[in-house]
Amino acid sequence: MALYIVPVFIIFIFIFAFAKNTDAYGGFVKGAKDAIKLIFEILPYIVAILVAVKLFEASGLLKAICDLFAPLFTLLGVPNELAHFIFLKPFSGAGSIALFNDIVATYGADSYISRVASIIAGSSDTVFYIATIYFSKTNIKKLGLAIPIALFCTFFSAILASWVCKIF
Amino acid sequence: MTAIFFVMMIASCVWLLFQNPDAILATSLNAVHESLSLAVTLAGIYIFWMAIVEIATRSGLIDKIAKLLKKPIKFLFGEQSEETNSHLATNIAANMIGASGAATPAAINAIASMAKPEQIKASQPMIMLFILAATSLQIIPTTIIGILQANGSANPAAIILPTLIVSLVSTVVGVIMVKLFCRQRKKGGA
Repeated sequence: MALYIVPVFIIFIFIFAFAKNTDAYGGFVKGAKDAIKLIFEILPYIVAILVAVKLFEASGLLKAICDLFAPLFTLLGVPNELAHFIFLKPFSGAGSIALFNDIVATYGADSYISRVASIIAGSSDTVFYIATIYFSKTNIKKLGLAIPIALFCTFFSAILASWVCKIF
Repeated sequence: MTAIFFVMMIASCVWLLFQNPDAILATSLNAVHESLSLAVTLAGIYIFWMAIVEIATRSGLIDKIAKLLKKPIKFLFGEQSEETNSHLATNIAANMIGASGAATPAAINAIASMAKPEQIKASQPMIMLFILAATSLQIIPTTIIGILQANGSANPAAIILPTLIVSLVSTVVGVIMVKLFCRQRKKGGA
């Protein structure tokens, strides 16, 4: 079912445009042009966050923070094996997907650990990455409580996922 | 962001200096390289999706969706300009169907259209949009299901309902927190 939603929606957009007599060709080209501009605008931000995150990871500090907070998560019912994954998630999208793949391969796709990891992966996003690129077209540098709230929600959903998977 | 960037850079580099000084430059350059290939991947996705979204905008479809989502948008983001509303509607609709390639550019444009040129502090509606993205609105986690399937799960779709529940609860918690803690003294207009 999920496989069809996006393709059907795309077809619908074209049929709707046709029915409304829209210049679909002109629109497509204009959208593509805007996208190219956008990519150049966000590229420096992607570089900045990725350099910072990779150094953070390479230095072992990310791992150290994981180890520091892992007992707290275990206390709240989150499987120990997932502590690293939960901390990687806000920093690195590609990295956490790779780790998720590892977890599923190691513990088996239908294991409790994998199910909790699936929910964590599906219910939160790469906080630091979004924080940089969302504001890339503006001069905004001060995000106030945005990141603390986002991180709180990420950790909260990890704890919730661990509980929900015990029921389901 | 400036503070986070400083902390991450200085702490990581100092730490690495004592362990493996070679790694500082190697890792950085590697990360730049990775950013470029990520940008190429994203460019492909954004070009396609923004082209499709532009067609949907020109045909009036986005306006229709925006009307449909008027109440939730007003509740979450308050009174916004028509342009912002249509970006927000695109973002929400794209997120729900799992077309994140269309959602991200729409969010960037929505925030850009809310921001004043000299503004350096994020406003409440911007933080709201950011939190919605961070807590994920996606109804069907297609990537996750794909990975579960590839690893031989008996019923990968079983993850949809619990994910939806957790996602919904964390989104609601996020929205409440933004409403409570990010209030601003408004001086006129949006």
